[in-house]
Amino acid sequence: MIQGSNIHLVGALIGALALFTLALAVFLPYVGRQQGARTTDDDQKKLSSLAGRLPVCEIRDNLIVRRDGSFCAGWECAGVATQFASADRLEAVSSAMDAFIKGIRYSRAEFQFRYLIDHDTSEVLQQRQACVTSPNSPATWLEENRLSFWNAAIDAGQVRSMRLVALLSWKPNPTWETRSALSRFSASLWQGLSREGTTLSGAIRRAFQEAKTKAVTQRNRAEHNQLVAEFDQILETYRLGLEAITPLRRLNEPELVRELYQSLNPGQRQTTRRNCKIASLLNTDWAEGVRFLDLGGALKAVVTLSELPEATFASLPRPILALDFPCEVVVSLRVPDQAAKIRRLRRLLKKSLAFQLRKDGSRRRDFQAAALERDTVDTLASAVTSSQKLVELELGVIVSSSNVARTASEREKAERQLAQRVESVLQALGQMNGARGYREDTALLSTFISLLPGVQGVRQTNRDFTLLSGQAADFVPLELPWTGTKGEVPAFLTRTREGTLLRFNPFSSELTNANVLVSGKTGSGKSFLIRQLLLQLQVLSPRIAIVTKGADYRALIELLGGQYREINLHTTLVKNPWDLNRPTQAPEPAQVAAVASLAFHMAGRTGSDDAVTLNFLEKAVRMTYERLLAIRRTPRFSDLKWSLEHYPFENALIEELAHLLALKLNRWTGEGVYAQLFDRDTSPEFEKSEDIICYDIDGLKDSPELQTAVAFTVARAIDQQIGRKDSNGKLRPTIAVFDEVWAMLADPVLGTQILNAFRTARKRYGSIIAASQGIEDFVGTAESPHSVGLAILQNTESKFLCAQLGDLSRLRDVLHLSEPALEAVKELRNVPGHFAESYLLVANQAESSTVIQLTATPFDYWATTSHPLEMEFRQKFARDHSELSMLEVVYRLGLEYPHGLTSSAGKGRKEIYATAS
Amino acid sequence: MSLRLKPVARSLSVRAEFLGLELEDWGLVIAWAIIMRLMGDQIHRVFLGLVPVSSVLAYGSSALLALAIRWVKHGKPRGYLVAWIQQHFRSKAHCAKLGETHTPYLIEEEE
Repeated sequence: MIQGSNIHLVGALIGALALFTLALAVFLPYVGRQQGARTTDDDQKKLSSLAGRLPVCEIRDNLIVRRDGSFCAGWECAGVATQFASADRLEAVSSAMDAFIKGIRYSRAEFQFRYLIDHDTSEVLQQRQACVTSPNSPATWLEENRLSFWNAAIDAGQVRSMRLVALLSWKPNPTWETRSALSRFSASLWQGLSREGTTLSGAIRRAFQEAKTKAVTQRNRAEHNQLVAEFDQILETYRLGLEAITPLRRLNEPELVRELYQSLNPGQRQTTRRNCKIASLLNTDWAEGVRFLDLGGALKAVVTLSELPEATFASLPRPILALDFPCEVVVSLRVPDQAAKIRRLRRLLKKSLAFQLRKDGSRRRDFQAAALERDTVDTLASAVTSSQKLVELELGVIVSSSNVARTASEREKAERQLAQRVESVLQALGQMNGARGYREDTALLSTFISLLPGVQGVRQTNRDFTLLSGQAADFVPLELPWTGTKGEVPAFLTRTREGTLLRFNPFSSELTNANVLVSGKTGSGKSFLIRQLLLQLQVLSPRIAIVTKGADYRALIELLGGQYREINLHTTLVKNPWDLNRPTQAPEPAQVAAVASLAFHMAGRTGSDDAVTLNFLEKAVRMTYERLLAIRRTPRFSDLKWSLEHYPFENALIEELAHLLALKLNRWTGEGVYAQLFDRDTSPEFEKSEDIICYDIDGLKDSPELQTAVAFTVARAIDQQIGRKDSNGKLRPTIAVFDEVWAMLADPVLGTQILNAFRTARKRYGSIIAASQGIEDFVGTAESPHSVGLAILQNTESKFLCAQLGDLSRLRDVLHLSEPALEAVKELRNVPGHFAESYLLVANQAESSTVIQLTATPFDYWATTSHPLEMEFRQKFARDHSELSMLEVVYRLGLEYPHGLTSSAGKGRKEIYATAS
Repeated sequence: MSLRLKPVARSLSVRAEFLGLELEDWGLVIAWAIIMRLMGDQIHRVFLGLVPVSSVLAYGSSALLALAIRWVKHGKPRGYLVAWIQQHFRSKAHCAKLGETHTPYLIEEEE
């Protein structure tokens, strides 16, 4: 019979064992780490060594070396701009990532993708400021004001930047030195006890010492170099795989130092001249608060993924990538030993089956076990029968407060801000198809440390999930918004809808041409965009020529000190289309073709075959040039008419054609109604080379054919100006703007000439900005397409699409827009006085497209507004204050009405208007 | 083409539990039960005239403890109890410059 005391003894032993196990689980992670704490001072008794907690040893050879002897290296990834990509493209990226994960062969390798969302710095503004050359000009004053405006926005954290960093850690095969602290402790203790003459306390002390001192794996240089070479091979293999998905660049030693330093000391940005030892990277004391960490005044919270979504799909992490405050999305991936993982799953399957059986063998209903059985079977089937791999994945989001809190009130504010941001992260995780997040509290410190750069894989966080590689690939945050053209002067800066700064330079070497198309309905902000573009492009010191209908550009031209010329039937401003660059030499074929095309347009359809008529006209033009140049005169259209009237007889058909053409040119020559504009020598004003000039042809609106002819003539004149050097022999960029003057494209003969200008502008350092209310103005309708317009579109690299009117199918067809891009165009908004949105598409690729939110300083706004009410108000104000320059007018209006008149309520607007003076 | 949905096996990542408690939770409950039993054995009284106090202490308090752990851990991630205890034994302030004695990684640098 068993005595009661024996039962108690066994019970006590089991209890003691249970407590010991629990104590081990609790305190084991601190073995060898707490030793760093000094016990000499009472205050320091409460402190622990931060260096002891971090598993990083030092940074050398472009690697982070960890205390356990493992290595970590990183790449800066350019990401994939798939916000507006089609579903096919998204699937392709996901598949590529899946293939990459499947290719991970080393179970001791672990990938970490860090998606860093932060406030942008003013570096780009400094780049831009360096380009401002002309002092004391209105453009420079506006530019300086604009830079201050952006600087203020950046300082206020309204502009964010996103980066993607991929880190790979690798643990070499374990040696004695790389074993865990526990194994070193127990082995040392065993040795101590088995040695004669050693006391128990001495053995324990020695074992603790062993665990502590060997916490850092030490190697000699030869062994280190050998392992680094091995790791470099692995890195190269994975670099090739990752590069197939996104462009990337290896992080060098200073960059790794900066990454780690900024993570450990978020309140300090200066990282220069840091050496690579962990002790020198630690410069901030940490404190644990209630559910947050205080890193020298910068508060951090951690949210981890606690429940998986119901299903994954490409672009799954979009909700968390859209967060607009500083945070880091960290996704760690490892591909464990597949055989061991499958064995574990089989054991899990057996358990799930066992839970569903009663003792007598009958089945009982256990929904949780049934779900586990189904999931295990599905996963096992996929893992065994397909190429899918089992992957362990962790997802965490480190949330930060914006500023360093120094006072109690700042700290309270920062805590509230942090709590609000954590809620946003939890909400965003919930939007990931039913996933759930958990705000870390008790395990906050350990989780935070395990999410630091270069620390992944050293310790288990207990937050990992088992997934198939295809599902894990969907979690990887690869999507980065397009940030614009790189490597050049950021000639045009604007905010995107994602809150980033877009850098755009039409003359960038990344673009095949510098031409720009702007399309949008009335009131969509199209004119505002063009004027902003022209204002900002002043940093390039360009020459600007504008052809437009209406007085929209008058204020801007006056502000920038340019010439504004109205062309109508009563004007004396004439450009003779026959003018040659070198009056003494024979005309170039392009000049002959252009004059012949214009004559063809003037005459209208003549004869049965247009090609024959055009050929004939070209011959006649050439003859006219030869005749007039012989007597050192520049020809005019009346000379062409004379040539046609006296054309030598070839055959009856040609004679009739010449006669008809001469008759039809009557309106344009001699005393004809249009002769004033075409049959005169060029006015002296036209001869002058102006930096900024605008031709307003609205006065010719009653005669569309005349307007088209004048537009063509002026366009030709501007085209001839492109590529000319200035008086200092310097080649400056030329920007030609054609706003709403595309009727000439309907005429295929004139259109061909314009197409030629689009094709060759880039070679001559020129950019043509074409603006229109609809894409149909260029390409025609589906039933009646303009072949020339389509060709022009192909020669226009950058397209700004503002809000459109009606059906967008034509837009989708000609620009090959994806469904998300089309949706984005449909949703474009224009809030007068605040911002105007437009979709920027470069090179017809969704990867180089974004939605920009064009904002303006109050002075830029008043300089560029095209709202009729505001234009009239500005005009009235300028009239009433005639002593003021246009810059002063803009300045005063900007100060008085920083958001214009249209953002006010209707009633207020009327009142303001009434008190204009 | 719409995006392809890939259903996720969510059950695979549920923690290994028995009656809602993880292994370490059971360790605490068992240890608690034994200690209470040992203490209760010193109290020779009967609870409500029916059940010995030692049994009430051992089984009743352990059941309550198990329920309390279950309630507290609801919605919490794996290993919460261990992290909770660790938190109470850990110092809350971590000094950057404390214990700076740095063991060099490369052995030759020591020389």
